[in-house]
Amino acid sequence: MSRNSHSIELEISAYWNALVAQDEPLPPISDSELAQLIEAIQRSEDSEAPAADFTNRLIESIALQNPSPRTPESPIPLSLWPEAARTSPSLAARPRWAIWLAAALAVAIVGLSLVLWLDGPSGPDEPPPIPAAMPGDETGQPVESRSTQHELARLSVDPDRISPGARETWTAASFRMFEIPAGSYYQFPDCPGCAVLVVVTVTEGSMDLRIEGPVATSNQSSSTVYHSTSEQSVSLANNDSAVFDLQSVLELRALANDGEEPATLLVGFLYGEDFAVAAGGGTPPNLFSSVWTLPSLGDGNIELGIDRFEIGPTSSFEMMSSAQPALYLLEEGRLTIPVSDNGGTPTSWKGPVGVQLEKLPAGVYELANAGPGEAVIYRMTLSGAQARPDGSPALEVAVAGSVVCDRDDS
Amino acid sequence: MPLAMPDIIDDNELARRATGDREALAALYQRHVDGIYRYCFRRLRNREAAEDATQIVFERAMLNISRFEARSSFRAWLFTIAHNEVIDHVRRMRPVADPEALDLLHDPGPSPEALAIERDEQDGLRKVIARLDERDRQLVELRLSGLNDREIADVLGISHGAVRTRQHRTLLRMREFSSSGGRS
Repeated sequence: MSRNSHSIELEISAYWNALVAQDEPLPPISDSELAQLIEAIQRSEDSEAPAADFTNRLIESIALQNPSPRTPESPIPLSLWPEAARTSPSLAARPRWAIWLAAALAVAIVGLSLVLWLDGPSGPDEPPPIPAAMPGDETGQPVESRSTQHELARLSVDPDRISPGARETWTAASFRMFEIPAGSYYQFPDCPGCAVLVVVTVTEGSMDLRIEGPVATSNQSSSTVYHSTSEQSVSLANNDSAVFDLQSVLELRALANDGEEPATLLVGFLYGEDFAVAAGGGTPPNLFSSVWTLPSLGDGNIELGIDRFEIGPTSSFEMMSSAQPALYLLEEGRLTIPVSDNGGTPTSWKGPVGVQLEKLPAGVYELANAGPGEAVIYRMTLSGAQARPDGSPALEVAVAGSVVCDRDDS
Repeated sequence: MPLAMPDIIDDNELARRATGDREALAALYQRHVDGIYRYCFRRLRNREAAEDATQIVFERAMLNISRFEARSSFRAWLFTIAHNEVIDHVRRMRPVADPEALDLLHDPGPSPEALAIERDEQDGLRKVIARLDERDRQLVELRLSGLNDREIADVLGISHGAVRTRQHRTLLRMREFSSSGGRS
């Protein structure tokens, strides 16, 4: 970036900050046309104000959820809170669903009383009723349910050596699952000058990765890591991974399925905002996807990992999350992640197939299977600023497929 | 009844007192409910959806207010919750298995919002904003909500420098769109 461009960016920021803060006078800006555009944008505000009855209802609702009295050491000379909000709302003011719920409960209680009365009173000597066993549980013992974590790929990248300048231009990461039908292919999109790191992991079937340029692959069956710098076609089988930089690839850059069965693969991208992941050619259905805005990567190597979690029915997987971001893809089943943080992450998140959760806060949390069948989740993690030992390769891929954890949550 | 008094007390100080003090909560609510609702409305273009999102934002904020650490401004913290809630809301409404929804952030074509806005033919600049890709539009919408560049960086989870660079590029794109009559 030129010095001139940098100073214009600073001018724009200062000008826009002052405008939204209604500061006077506004700081000078060398491009008056851009200044006019900023002012026009601020004038274009067209959103409607919230309705008064909505804001009143909401404040009452919040008041009921925060009933704590004021403390003596925090006197704030305000009288904003309506006294009426300190008491329970009248029946008329209650939500309609609450009225229906109360009515339904009353009917149920009356009905139950009637049934008990018709059956006759229970004597004090009668044994308590025996609860029925759960369906499919003839022994009455809990059904064994397992949770496992498989590490599919682990790579360490020195961005400065793989793609000079990439550290400054990578702004987003994406995690996608492709299914490539037999006899079909996926052509990575062309983006001259774009720094794009691609991680491919085959989860089902086999693929040919046709690539011209440096590529590192990890092969589970031979437990080897292979580095190549020339034009090649690399065969990837189930749980094999490959990593390459799209900027250094020339003509060949396709994932081809020459077999007779469909292949499924996970593709992780780190890229700048000018790169359109969706623009690739070929015919693969893009099953689902997740995107996040990259944090500052800092200096040193970045570490990127792909894991697969299999969580049995009624089971969960407890894990410790660092502050590093992660993308999740739920391939199968239904998932609940009870989490809570400062940043608005839901306190209980339920995901059907194909829906992702981008970030989890630091701390311990559970991936809990909320469905009747097995849940399968893929996770891509990214952490930055790992010191790279002198002399180590710029790109390292760990041997994939190892089972990291095997827990019995019965 | 809104009073002028709340402006004397800093947002972060009110947030510190808000645990156990409903009047501090009320002051924070009064200050920000309009901005949060307008932001949600701009993003969701639907009154009911904006009301739902606003309610969730404030309920979540009030639930977690004791954990607000004042490392950013309270407004940035609140808009971060709103930003995440809007994203969740869009995801809930559009199954991600739909390939068109997958590329929400990268599809260069006009979004449904953009098409809706184009239909009403009200304002050329709004059409230009609607033509921006999702991330550039997020930045402009946060500016419209009155956030400064540091607060936007906190909300979007990117560096301060990245915000400056992106907003410069966004303005250049908007100028280009304007000069081409809205055609890219």
